[in-house]
Amino acid sequence: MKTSVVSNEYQKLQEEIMKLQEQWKQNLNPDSIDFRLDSEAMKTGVPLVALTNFDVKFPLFVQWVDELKQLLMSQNADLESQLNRVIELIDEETAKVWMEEAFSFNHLYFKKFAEENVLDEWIPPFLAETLFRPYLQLLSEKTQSKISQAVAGCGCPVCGEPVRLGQLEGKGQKILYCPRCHANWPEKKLSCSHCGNEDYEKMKYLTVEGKPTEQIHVCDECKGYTKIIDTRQFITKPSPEMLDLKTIHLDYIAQENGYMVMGEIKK
Amino acid sequence: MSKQQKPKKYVKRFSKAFIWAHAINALSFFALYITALPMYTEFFDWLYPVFGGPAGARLLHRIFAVTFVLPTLIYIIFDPKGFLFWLKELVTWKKRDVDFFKEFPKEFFGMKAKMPKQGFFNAGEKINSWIQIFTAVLIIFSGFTMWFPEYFPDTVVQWGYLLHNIGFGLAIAVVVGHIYLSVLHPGSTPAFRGVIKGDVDAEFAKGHYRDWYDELVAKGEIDEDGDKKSADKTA
Amino acid sequence: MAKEYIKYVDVTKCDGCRACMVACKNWNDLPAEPEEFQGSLQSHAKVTANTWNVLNFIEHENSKGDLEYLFRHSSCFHCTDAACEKVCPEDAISYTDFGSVVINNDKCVGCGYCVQNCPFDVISLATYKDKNGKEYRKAQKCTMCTDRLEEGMQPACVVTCHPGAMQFGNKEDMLTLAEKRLSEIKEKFPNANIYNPAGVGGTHTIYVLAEKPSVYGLPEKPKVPTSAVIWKDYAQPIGKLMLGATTMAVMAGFVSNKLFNKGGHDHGQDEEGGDSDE
Ligand code: SF4
Ligand SMILES: [Zn+2]
Ligand SMILES: [Zn+2]
Repeated sequence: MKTSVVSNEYQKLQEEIMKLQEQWKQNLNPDSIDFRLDSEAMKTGVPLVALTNFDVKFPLFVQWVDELKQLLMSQNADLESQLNRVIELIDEETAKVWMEEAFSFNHLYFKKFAEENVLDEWIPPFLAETLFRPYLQLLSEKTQSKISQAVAGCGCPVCGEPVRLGQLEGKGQKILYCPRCHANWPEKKLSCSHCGNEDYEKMKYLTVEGKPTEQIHVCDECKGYTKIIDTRQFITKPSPEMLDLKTIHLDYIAQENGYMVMGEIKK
Repeated sequence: MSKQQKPKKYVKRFSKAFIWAHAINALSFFALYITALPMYTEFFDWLYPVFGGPAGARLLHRIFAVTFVLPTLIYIIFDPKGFLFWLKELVTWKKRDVDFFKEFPKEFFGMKAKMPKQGFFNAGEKINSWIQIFTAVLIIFSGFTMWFPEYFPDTVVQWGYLLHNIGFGLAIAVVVGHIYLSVLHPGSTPAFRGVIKGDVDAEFAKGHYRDWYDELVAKGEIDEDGDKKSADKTA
Repeated sequence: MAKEYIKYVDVTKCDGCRACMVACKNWNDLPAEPEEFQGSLQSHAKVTANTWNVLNFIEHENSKGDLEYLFRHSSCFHCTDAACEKVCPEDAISYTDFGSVVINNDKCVGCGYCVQNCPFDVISLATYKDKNGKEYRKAQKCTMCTDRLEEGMQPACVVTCHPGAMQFGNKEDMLTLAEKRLSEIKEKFPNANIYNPAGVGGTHTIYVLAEKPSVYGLPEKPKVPTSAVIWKDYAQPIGKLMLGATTMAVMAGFVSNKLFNKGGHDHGQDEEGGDSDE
């Protein structure tokens, strides 16, 4: 569901979805996630999510799908038939599979699912990801105090999402934020989030004319980039996913300049 | 009311000093009015470029402010007697002046009116003079505070803006009436000659300022001829 | 919908570093005015057309007879009832949804009415030269960084204030913050007060002051000048009406003369009047 222009409507929809997710998260039983903080494993870059069991309650799942359906239909009524079909198709088993596949980004599985059931290709992975996030966010909320670093190139220490966003805080520390699970952790200012490069000659900042709060930290070692936003200057701080969305123009700029989301990790 | 083509007789009414003073004052007033108009209502903003921008309008307004004040000095210096006479007339109020206003509205709208005999200035002109003097003082002094705010306390300057505005509002209302009566009103056109050339038709003087006319006759300032001719006509 | 914001200045936390002045100059691209920086400390520093905020330094003898050094970040108050907006003849000054008061440079004709009527003396005229060398003037003052607010950013001065003497946020939040701070410092500074003058409908730059406003060179009870209220709410509208009414009367006179008096001027009336008196 990638839009080339982040229209206001799209931002609104995104905000509505986030509100739903926040509600869902609040209603989740904290015991429905069972994690094992294995610091040894995590030091090698294994995300916490891989060490966690999620207890997905099927009735809750169906209820969420239905709420999401209402929201989506208020934007686009044409979706009704497809969304109804999804609700018919889903049983307890599929729900479990969906959650697992969402966590491992298994696009192939969702693609096949869509094809088999004559659904728009984006629908199954989008639903799965949206429904999975409250669990992830609960996980990161519960473990945030123990997350103080990440392994360069391995993405978010909680959910494994590639790093692409950071904020300046306090006296100017760089804190990386995961737009997917909201986990955050500090990183050295002159260090590449993707390859760990600390050679300052190969690290550059790209800035945008007239946007004093926005920087793109790029690494010429791995060609990766990270968007760094000085949200201290903001009147209200947006959530990480909104910030990510609102700075999508920086992704275009970085990519136009030959940098990539993940960088080419040479190891 | 048959009108024959008879050679007209004229009687002197205003001095050269008065004529000049009056004209400069009047023109300055209009120049001030026009140069301030875009400041008064945005409707006239298109006038700015005409004056070379707001800065140009401000400069012109100040130049005309000076030429607006000057005439009174011209008048005092070159015709002190006329000036004093004018002031004396202004403070002299008789029954005829009060009665004037009863008939004035009829006259104004062009209906039959029985005007009481008037002196050198009729009561309307006196009122006009009074208001003009009052508003001029208001405008000039408040204008000073606006022009040189650094020499006045803030409150004085702030009240200056208000008084300038009020003074201007009154002045323009009176001036519009004044001009109408002297230039456009059919009954008053001969009066216009008075402030341009200095003299007026003896007939007109007799009709509009009978007391003054009689005074002139009494003083022997109007020759029998003039007097007789007009008397003939009346008869 | 944009929200109404307030810039909250807690003078007790200011350490006089003047970073706010620099930040303002930078963000707003204002030329440096060297004379403003002469001498290390100034008690009567005043904002100018090119210096939109200024750090006031005040030597104050407190009730115990001790000399205190007070700082105050000074800039436009962004009045809720702004006298500058009221008196502007060109509609060049307006309120934004954020609560800030801004000047539209294209409309400003440099008349200076606002300068003379601002109760806080924080708006001034700047003189520029056009390409023909002709001078023109424009009123200038702090904009509350409205261009930044539109981007969701806080004013430049607030962002650079390291001791946290300034904060920016929702009106209610800032008012609460000020109340809270006041109660904290009331013991140490018995004269402490919140400066958010009602005479101008409250402001969008509010202060917690340690001493009486006058100690900081602020008017104790500022208000929209009465003269400005009469001028703009009564005199001018009535004036315009009167102008209209006189014009109408003249037109009526002109028309009725044409109706009743087809022959042009008519001396008869006056002469009859004269005759009847005889
Ligand atoms: S402080 Fe002065 S310049 Fe600022 S809004 Fe109020 S009246 Fe206008
Ligand atoms: Zn994450
Ligand atoms: Zn790198």
